[in-house]
Amino acid sequence: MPAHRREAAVPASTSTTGSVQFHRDGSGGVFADRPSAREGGFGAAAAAHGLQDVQFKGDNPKKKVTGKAGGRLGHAAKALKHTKEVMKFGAGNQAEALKATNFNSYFRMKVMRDPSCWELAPSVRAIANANRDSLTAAKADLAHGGNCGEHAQVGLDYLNTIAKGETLNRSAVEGLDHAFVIMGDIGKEGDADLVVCDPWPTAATACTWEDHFAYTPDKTKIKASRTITASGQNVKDVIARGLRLSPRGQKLINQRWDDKRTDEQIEKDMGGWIWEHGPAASEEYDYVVDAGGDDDDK
Amino acid sequence: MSDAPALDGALLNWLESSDGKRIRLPVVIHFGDEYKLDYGPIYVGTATGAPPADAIHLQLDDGGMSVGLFDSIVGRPTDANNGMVLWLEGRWGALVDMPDFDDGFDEGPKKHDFSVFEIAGDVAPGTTHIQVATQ
Repeated sequence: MPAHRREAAVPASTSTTGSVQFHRDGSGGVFADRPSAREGGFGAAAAAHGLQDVQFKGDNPKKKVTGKAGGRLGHAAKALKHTKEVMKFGAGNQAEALKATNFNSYFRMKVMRDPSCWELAPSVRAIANANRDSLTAAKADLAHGGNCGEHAQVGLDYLNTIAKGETLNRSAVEGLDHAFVIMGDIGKEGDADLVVCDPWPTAATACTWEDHFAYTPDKTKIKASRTITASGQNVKDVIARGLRLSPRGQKLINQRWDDKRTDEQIEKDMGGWIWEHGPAASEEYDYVVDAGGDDDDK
Repeated sequence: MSDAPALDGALLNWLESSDGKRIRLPVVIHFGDEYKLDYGPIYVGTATGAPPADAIHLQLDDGGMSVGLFDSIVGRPTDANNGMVLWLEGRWGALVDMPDFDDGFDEGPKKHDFSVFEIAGDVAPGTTHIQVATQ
């Protein structure tokens, strides 16, 4: 290793610039303040079912990444944390969240997807039409629900505000019904420089594309349903000014079942449309920036 | 998938007794406004426009889809009626029973629940039958 090389840990919630300190978030976790359905608090229930904060653990194998990938991992980790905070009841099709919320996370997902659950002022309809990810993100701030599609949209919308100039792709892989965000130019950049922000898994962490569970070396199998260059603009807040839940939406987000019915439904549909999916990475690493390496984009 | 019942007056009875079979229905989907922010009429059929008097109107349940149906189709081209016709694959009935709020949102023609799992492509002109998964 050349003498000028240094290693800098990629922090989960701070910029990589100038940082050499490994970020370790040992605080309560993003689910800690949730209201209770079963055990006096969603936080307790969530903890019991394995829901976790987004963090770099510090005890994973270390893996060197380029400065470009490191910067993206930092942005992706911030977007994961943001999305998990917004989607604080968990996904509508993850068993842990359904159990912890007595199926309320399902009804919140249904609210997100049902236009009759929303009222949108005429003044923001055009901008909402042109910025669907921001519209979903604005809805999520009120309904806090969704499956992987909505999680990816919230993550992408947040990245659009913090990662100005980056290429963002709302993506899926052929043959796999799952949506997530890939940062970078999929056609031109190597797999080690592309970074995934996939907020839907219950124990999501930022990772490079080559480490993501959906990875394929065949880029023709990556299907980007939307590609943008991050503008740095916050469109969500503009839409939010003209958006509110309809009376139907307000009723539906408060729906939940008793323990028995919840458990029966999860048992019936597990493996069908209900999932137990923990990590986003096929193998989790603590990424370190190889600042003196072969990265020509610093 | 194999061809199954025809798109005729007997279809609804067949669907009601389909007992969880995985099927593909040709579905007419209209958007409700110029910005495509709401659904318009949705029914079994092969052509957009005013629904026939005996149309089978649908309430599409996309809770089993990882990406919502609305967001999946909003980028597709629409015709002069602000609509499209798609093969939707799923099962007759709701994925999960939803509460009935009796809040006026269900006014209009009776809507039948259809749980959608997949968008299976455009419907070719001249389609006369639905499709049923081979077991």
